[in-house]
Amino acid sequence: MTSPIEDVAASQAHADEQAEETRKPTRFAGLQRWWNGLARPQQWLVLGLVAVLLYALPLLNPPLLTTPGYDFPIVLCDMARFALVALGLNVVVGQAGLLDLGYIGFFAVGSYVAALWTSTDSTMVKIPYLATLPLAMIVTGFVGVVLGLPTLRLRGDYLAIVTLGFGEIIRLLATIIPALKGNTGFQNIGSPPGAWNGKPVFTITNGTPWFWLFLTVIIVVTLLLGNLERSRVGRAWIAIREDEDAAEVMGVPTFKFKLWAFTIGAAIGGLSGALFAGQIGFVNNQKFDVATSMLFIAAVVMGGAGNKFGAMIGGAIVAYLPYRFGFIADKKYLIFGVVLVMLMIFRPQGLFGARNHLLAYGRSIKRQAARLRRDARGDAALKEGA
Amino acid sequence: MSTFLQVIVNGLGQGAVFALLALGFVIIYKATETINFAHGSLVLIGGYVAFAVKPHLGWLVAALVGVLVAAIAGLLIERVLLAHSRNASPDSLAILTIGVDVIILTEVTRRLGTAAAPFLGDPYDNKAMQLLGLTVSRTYVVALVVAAILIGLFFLAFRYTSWGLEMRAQSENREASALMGIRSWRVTASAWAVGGALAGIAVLFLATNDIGGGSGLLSSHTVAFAAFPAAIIGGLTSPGGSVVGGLVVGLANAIAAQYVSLDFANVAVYLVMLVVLLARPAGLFGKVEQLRV
Repeated sequence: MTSPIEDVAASQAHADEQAEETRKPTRFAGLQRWWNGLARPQQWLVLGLVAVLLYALPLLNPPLLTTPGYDFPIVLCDMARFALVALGLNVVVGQAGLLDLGYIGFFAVGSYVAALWTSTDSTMVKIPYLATLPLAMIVTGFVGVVLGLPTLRLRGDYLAIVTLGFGEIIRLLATIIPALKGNTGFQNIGSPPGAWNGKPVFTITNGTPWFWLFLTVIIVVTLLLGNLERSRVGRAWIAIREDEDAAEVMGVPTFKFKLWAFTIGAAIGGLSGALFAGQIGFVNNQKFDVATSMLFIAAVVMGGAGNKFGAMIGGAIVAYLPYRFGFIADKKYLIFGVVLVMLMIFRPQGLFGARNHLLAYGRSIKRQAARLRRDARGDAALKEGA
Repeated sequence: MSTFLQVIVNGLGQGAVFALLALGFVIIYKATETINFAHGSLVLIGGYVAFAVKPHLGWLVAALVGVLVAAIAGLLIERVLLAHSRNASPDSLAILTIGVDVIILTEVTRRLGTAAAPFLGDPYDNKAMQLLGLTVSRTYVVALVVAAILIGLFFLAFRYTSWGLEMRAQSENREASALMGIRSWRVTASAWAVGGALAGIAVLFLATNDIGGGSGLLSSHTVAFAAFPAAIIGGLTSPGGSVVGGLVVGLANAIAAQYVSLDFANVAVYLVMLVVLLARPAGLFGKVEQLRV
């Protein structure tokens, strides 16, 4: 066995290596250099093209990507749903570093909000479906605050178990509260208005408009979260994730910002739950088990906690693989279990690790540094010439 | 009154099983500082092996084999997976154990299939007995007695043997104890083995009609879930606390099941956990963490 001193040295080396890993050029180094070299409007143009391509996906139904045996637009909806969930969970797990194992609970609350206020099986007042989306966010955000207030005082280990319990409680409540109709569930959940050639646009059999709606929501949420990350809030989250005590000492009100992360994450979970309820048109208590919560965690961890694009890709992959390769569908939990174990041993930062560049002024500082370096090189060349 | 006493006996019996699980969980947590989310699957793997061996070698041998296999499974998780990523963050290790749990759960569930529900409590399951004028299920009484003996033995070992001393020293300060000549890998590995063995014993009572319910072993992974709130209520760092937590969870479960509804019983456990945490954020007997920055 190694001596303790070697142990400490090894753990330091490990930390250094991990830090280095995020700095050293990856396989995508060329792509990254090209991206960083583009001016801001050019970057927007490229992103716009990617967005157009994504919007066109259900119509193109590309041969290699398509899913034999399953309706491709519906599969895309599922992928978009997981991507949105991963995006929200990434705020909690990736940005603020709070291990939330009960995220499915927020998702469930959002689904039930949409079901209760739009389904014909519900006795509540009916409101338009689109109005339930913000309502779901408000309700789940509120649930997030209620759960966060007592639990976010706790250290991470306690939090993980408490949130796991929360996921269970929500599922059990859906079973035992008569108004939530347990296994029977709610049918005929509302959908956005709109008709094309006299037929409604949003139906449960046609995935394409739902996918567009999901994609639009994802784009809006990504833009908002991007702004948040570059703000005081985002910097506080990263400080908390890296070292909570140090952050507190430096004057970051850690509890407040943890609660923010928890609430925002919860609201996005609720939003995706409400969209999910509308898309499949049916909600009962069987859809919100702990195993799905673990899939959510697997998605975020696989993509790379802390990197929202990575998390989204992770979410899309987790949803996509069982459809694409039908023979793994019944083994999907087994496979994602193995993936989780392998990732945690060999690449804990996920496929696309988070890069902690200087957040607020990162871009301009980088450019400034590059100019200085160029000038210095120019000076040296001049001297050499002289 | 007699119903109430019956409920108390049932609660204590269930609680004793949860205490076994929570104790193993806490021992593992103290030794590795890892939340072992695979604890439920240690339960499941021990139960599965015992169930597979039972028709061939009889209940007693099967039980012993099951406990042994659960202990070895714990040992292997630590030696093969965790020991190689010692420098990873605690969250990564927790997620790793989630992965292990998912693997074992899906595999054992697949192997058990949809055939008749497997049960493991042959000598005591579904048998009523008289105790001080009360009619109670034998499972609860046997569980209580076995758990009391095992927990007693553990605390004696923890207090008086050199193994216990090493374990306490290591959880106090890992580096210092290693410098004093304690082989830290042995302590860690043995903690996982003990945790696994306790889970293997717990499943002999969980996979019964009395405690686990109609689907026997199939539901024992879900029932074993209650060990997490039990450990939290007692405080993650306190073995004694985990026993108290286990009994609290068992009693809360039994009382809620009797006087409110069976479905509410599981919710009640988590409600008790939340109330305890509101009052004492580190659990009843947990140490409040103070880190140096």
